[in-house]
Amino acid sequence: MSKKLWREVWRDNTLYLMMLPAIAFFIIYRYIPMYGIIIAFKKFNFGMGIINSPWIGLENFQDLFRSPFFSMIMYNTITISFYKLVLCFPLPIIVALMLNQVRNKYFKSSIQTVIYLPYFISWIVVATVVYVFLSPDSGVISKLWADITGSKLDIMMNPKYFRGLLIFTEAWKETGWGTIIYLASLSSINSELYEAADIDGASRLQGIFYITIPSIMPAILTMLILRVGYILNAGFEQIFVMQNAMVYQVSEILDTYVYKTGFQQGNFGLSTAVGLFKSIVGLTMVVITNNIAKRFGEDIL
Amino acid sequence: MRTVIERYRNNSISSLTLINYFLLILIGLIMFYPFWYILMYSLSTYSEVIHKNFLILPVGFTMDNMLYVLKNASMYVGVINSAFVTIVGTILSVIITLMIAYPMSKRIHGINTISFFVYFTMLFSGGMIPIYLIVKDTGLMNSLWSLIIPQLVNPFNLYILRNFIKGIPESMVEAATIDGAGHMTVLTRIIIPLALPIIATIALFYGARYWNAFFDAVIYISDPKKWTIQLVIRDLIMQQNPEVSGGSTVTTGKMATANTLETVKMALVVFSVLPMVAVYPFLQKYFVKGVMVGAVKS
Repeated sequence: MSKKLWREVWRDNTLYLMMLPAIAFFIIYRYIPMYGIIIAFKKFNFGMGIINSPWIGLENFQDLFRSPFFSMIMYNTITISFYKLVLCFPLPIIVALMLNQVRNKYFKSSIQTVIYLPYFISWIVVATVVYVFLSPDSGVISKLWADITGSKLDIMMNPKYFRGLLIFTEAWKETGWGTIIYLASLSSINSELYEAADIDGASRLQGIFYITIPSIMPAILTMLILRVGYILNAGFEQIFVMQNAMVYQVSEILDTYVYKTGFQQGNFGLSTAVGLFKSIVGLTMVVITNNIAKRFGEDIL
Repeated sequence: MRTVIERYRNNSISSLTLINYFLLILIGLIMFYPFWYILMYSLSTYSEVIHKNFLILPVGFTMDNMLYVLKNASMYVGVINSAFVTIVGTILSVIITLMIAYPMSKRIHGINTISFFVYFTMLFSGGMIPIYLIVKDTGLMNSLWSLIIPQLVNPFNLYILRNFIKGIPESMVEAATIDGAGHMTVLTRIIIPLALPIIATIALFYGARYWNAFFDAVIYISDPKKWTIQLVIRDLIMQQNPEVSGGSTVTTGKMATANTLETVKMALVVFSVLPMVAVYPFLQKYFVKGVMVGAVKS
């Protein structure tokens, strides 16, 4: 290495030293676990540890792909994620467009404050709220339903409705927060465009369709592509806290399966294999979608 | 002339505007109502609330549930533990994120490689089990630190902060450097004061994450004395209905809060939501800008 390089590194030594705690964090808690992935190819034994456990090649993956649960879990993961994509993705765009039409500053910021609120609470609290509203016996909505129709309302434990409940709570919690990115994008539109349209006699609706939406299209595409890249993330914590035995069939996803095989059945090898499978597919999806994005002229990564 | 046109237009679309306002209010109500309902539930008397359905105002108004939570250690121990994790975690995270964001905004040797390794962790993870094993091996099991140290730096927050620091005009830094200020002085005297809104933003993001941390707590913490508020809440719902809500989780230790009234549970939920709801509106104008800086590339 050249002398110049070392001189420059030495000159900036404070800068390098400053980074040490963060770098140590990334090495220990992010990169060493990546090394731990080799468990996926071993018959992991707690007593022997990661290094001494015996290699078994691809046996864990064979177990996974041959498992009768595998197709169900993949189906659930992709279905739930796809429904969320189709139904929840457009909502923040629509709400952002609606907010953008509001001229009254105080009204706008009050609505914003209220709709960001659900983002700041945990899924376990959301599950509690759902319980208070929908518990078959004591939920306020269930009671109202019973008063009006005389029949019992059972949404939480009914496989028919459970995915709908997942999508609704997701929309409730994330829609408001999702508007931020579109509002930011909307605020950067040059107002002269609207003035020009105004002089040409365009109506406000025409303004939305011919100016606003095309202007935020890059932001929409970016978010869409990112979302598609993370298609195997169907919402772990949400499902983890809301799931129950009655709805396993329709809600067991890759991440909950990783948890169950690992922490409940103690099969760390299989569990890590499932996690690795998910990570690799996920990474591939992100890289592919980013390449597609590049063709649209949007470099995300 | 303009004003005439505008007035004309405003009249012609007023019905659309009204519908827009109406729908936004409706959306706002849907988002807000559950919070209101939980609050009113916690202010109701148990014996009345189980017999009478209410929608807007509490039945048999009482502060007893709130007081019960404040007086009962098995309840508020969760609040104290969560407060510790949130306060200590947020401070450490912000400091350490700042300490790497500043060098990453500079063109120094090897910084591209370091950036790559940092951002790569957003795309690929060792997964649940290998991370669990390293937390175990570093001796953090059953300690509140297990909720802090493995989550210290979030690459997305780092990215937002680095972008902002990079956007600070070089001339402001140069003036200080000529006066003989070192990197440490530049960071504390110039960068931090200028980046304060963004620092507030990432502090809020970190804080919300620490306060709401649930799954990590489920797998790392078993001692009820160290339960965070989220674990106490899970425990409360589980005893009501063991089938529901993380019923799949490993339960260790004794139920800390057996036979708790529904109204008291709601009072605890109110306490768990309160800190976030109280803090974030004040930071709203900052984080909207912060997300803009980080997410919308110019």
